[in-house]
Amino acid sequence: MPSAQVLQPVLKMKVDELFLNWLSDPATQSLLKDYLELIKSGQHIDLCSKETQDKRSLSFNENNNVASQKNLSEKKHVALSSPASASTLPSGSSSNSRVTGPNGRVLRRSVSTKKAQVRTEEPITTALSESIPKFYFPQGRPQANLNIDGLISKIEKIFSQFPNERATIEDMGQVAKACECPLYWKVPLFSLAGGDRTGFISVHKFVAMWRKTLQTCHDEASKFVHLLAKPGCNYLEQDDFIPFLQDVVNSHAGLAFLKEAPDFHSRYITTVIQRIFYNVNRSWTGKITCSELRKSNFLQNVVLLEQEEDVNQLTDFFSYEHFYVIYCKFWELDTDHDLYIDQKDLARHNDQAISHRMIERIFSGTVTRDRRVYKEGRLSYADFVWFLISEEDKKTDTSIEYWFRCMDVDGDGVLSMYELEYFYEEQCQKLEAMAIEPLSFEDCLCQMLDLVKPEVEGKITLRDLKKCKLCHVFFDTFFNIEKYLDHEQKDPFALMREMETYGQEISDWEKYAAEEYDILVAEEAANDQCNEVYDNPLSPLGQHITSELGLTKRHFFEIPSPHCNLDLDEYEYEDDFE
Amino acid sequence: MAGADGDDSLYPIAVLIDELRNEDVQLRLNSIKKLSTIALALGVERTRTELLPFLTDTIYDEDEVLLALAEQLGNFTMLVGGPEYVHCLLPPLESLATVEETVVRDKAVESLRKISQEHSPVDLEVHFEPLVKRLASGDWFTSRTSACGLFSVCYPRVSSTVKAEIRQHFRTLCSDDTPMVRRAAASKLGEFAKVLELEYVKSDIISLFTALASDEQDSVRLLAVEACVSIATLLPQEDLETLVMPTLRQAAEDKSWRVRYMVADKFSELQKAVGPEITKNDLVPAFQNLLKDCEAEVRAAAANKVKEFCENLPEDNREQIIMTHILPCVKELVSDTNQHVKSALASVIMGLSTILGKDNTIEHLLPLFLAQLKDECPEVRLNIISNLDCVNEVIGIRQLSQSLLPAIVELAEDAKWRVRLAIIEYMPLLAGQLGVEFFDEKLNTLCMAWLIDHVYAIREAATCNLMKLVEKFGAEWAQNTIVPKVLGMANDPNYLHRMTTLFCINALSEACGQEITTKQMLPVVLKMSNDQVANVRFNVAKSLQKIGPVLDSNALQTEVKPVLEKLASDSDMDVKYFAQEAISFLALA
Repeated sequence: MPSAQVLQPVLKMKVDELFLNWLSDPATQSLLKDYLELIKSGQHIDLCSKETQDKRSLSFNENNNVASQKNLSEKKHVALSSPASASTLPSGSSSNSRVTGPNGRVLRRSVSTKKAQVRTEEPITTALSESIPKFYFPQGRPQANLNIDGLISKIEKIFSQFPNERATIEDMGQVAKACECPLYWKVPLFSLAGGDRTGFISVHKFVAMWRKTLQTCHDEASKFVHLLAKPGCNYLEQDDFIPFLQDVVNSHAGLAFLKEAPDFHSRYITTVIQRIFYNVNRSWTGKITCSELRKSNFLQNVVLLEQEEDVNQLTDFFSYEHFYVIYCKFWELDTDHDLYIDQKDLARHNDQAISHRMIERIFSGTVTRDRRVYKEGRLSYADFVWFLISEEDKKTDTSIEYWFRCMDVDGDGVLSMYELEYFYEEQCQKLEAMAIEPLSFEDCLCQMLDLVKPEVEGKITLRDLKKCKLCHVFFDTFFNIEKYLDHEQKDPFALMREMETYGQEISDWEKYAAEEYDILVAEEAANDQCNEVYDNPLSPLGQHITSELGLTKRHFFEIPSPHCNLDLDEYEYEDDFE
Repeated sequence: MAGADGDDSLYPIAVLIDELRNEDVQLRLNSIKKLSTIALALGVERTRTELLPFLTDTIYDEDEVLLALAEQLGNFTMLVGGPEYVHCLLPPLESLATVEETVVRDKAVESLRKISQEHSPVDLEVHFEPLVKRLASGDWFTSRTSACGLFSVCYPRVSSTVKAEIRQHFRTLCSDDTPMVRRAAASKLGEFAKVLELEYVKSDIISLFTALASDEQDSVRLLAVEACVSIATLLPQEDLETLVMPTLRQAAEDKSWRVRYMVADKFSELQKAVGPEITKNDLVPAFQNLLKDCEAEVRAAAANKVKEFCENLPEDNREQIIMTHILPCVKELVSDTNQHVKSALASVIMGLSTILGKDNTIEHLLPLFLAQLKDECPEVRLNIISNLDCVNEVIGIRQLSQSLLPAIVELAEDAKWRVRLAIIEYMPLLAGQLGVEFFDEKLNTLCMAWLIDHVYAIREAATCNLMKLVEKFGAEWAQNTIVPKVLGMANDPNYLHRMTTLFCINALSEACGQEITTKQMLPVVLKMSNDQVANVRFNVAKSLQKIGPVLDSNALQTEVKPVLEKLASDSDMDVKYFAQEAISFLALA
């Protein structure tokens, strides 16, 4: 509120606020319900203290309702169904209105719940309702002084430079900028104006399309969804992202080395799409809505894509290094290279670190959308992306949900003791096999309950785990033997420090991806040394050097690595990559 | 802000709306809880067109907020314009029924069930049933699980073609890939069976029931047991043997103890559902097995049902069944290794005496009661003592006192003070069960003896016990039986016993009332202010402080005040201190 405002309205606001507090009080509501019951059954309510006011406001509303003035209780409805009477009263007599106000509105409310009275009720509510400003803007809040014609004329100017006022895909960068859109919106803009069918767009088509967009979509998120979504949909599905991402691959400088290896485009795109859905589609619906998009940092990342030449800096979605790590990890498991892995394959991940019981759960359909995962026992590459990110960073909400789904074997929303025991049993066997004496289940349980501190004793819910800063330790205890031992051997003070800096440092996933990337690169370097082509230590920084030198090298499974130049002739793609 | 230019009175509503999307969860939660106020202010039209889409859109939130929202929407029918428009509530509830947190999903389903009743049959088919279908064929188990709870509410009011579809969907979910969905379907099987026509119960439900009851997951199988009760109630007696019993027999011998536990836990319901004949032939041996189960949890659950099971046996040969089949098992349970089992048994075993009558009780049950009364576990003993009244009715107080009292007295005088302590705690209960006469005759001496026990904890508990007894039997009883004995101890040579008098007075004054306190207790307390032991004197000061509020002002001024003043100038530091405390507390300065 502006400070210049006089005291009077503020006072009234306070009164209203008190009224609302009173109205939303359970005791009040139950009292009112009782009154309503009485009124319904036609009984008289003894409200003698309000008698006088009733009479006053009765004359007020006399012509409002004729039929229902049969008894006093009915009259009271009418009398009190005028909320305006309280708020329009001058504040001089506000002590009086304060008394009527609450009762008046309360009864008004009970009237509104009584169908027969709705007719007399409606106009008042409407009056009240009209003065509440619109608050729901599914397409973003419209800007007050948006000069659409001005914007359009700018676009037309750009088009006038093109031959026949037609733009091809190469021109779209300029058009996107004229539309004040991030550069990489260019292909979606092109497609929506029909360019994907004809290969070019005319100024008329584009302007018509963009004018409509500006009129209906008022913020970045809704425009983006409008551009990418299928006709008639107000959400984005996985395949909606493909043309957009293909364009990023085609035209981003940081991915130039990938240009010559089209087989890897779809793998990279799949990876990015999965990461988008992992981070943005927090409702697990498979449909990204405007509001989910607004809550995420995805669109900011699209903007950054334009400014940042090195995609590897965009660690949330676009990093090639991250893709490289995920894909290499998958490749190691996918021995027959059909892009699907079965339970045995997945069990080999990280040297059998994950328990069989958990692997079974991952294949049970709780965390995978495709029913074939369960029916045919095979996990796709896309599903593996979810698995690996969840496995390597157990602190994000999506990851916690992922593992909770897996551990809640009976799906009742609670990790019960028997479920924990089920998973811990296998951990014990593993430890014994490693000649380590396991903690008894009871002791382990005590530790874990102390760690999670569930709200209801002995019942761990998803919410408890989300609140627990050490939930990754909890999960690893039950299904990842290697990480469990790591945690066990960790200095407890280090753990404390970790908790203090929780959320500030880079994520577990980024740490993992960076380390693994270095290892993978070093492995390749070792391979390359046999060839004695060059002895450049293959750090990601080496990329430019090597590419300048024009050196070529073979990878152990032929995936383009951003740190080397590619010579297509060197590649013999596996058939099943097609 | 809305208030700046528009009508000021609307400011709070606008604020509430604003706070629906505040960063602070608490504010959002507050706003959601006042959702009906917001809707009321907006009117039905804008609630439908703006508020509900807004809520549907912002559905991803903290689960506390979502839980509150899911609950609110169940009561929103009038606020969207009555039953005619109730289907407007479906989209937000549908989203809520698919979120990650189970409590929210369950609440959304609850609200959906509620508002389903407000749909007209047409709306039910046009709006509600398609929603159920969407949920039932959702990608994730979360949505399919939610669907399970919605079939039974729409089934009775839709056309026969839609009914057939609903049955088909339910069948599909019963054989879902994920155990979570099968579990949800199993838990709703009984409920769904109830709304189905009998022919479909026989043709559809039974096969689903049989399949779920032999599911690979025990969490599914055990829920089938629950459904068994409702299904058995629905079927005519002659079909039970072929349609239900094979499955039930199998469940009672399931390899998972959790399933057997469920059978034991639902035993009385099952017994009623299948009727007396099957009970005699099938359930009695099954029950015997459960009582002898290798898992303590199962034995405990079965033990809990002993009385109810016996009560519900057909009367013609009830006694014979109990004596030959049940009692031998019960006897074994009395000396079970697990205290939960014994304790469960102790809580119901006394009830058998009413069923078996006086002679059998004396001959067969009393020894068991005695054994349990002497059990090392206090909970077992407590359960026996707190149910003495039902035995009392059957065999009479004389018999009871002859048989059980010695055991109680024995415990009361046990060498271990913790055992004595346990018995003291049961005294008020026992007194209430056995009546004042019996108490005076048999137990009063015990209670008084504890006052001079050599362990402080016992004396303290004994004091507290007296207070509870007075509360039970009244002031007059106290005056006649307890007060004289307590006051007599004021002259005891042992100062610890003299102090016990004071402690008792502290505890009793309020229960005894002003008259007894002023006339009988006060003089003794005042007299003790001359005790040569300082501990006694400062306890006198403390006692005066404690009983002061019970006394009238006259007594305070003329009798208490001089004594406290005297004590306030005592040579002992502590006595002075507590006397001054009492003076200021009673405002006598």
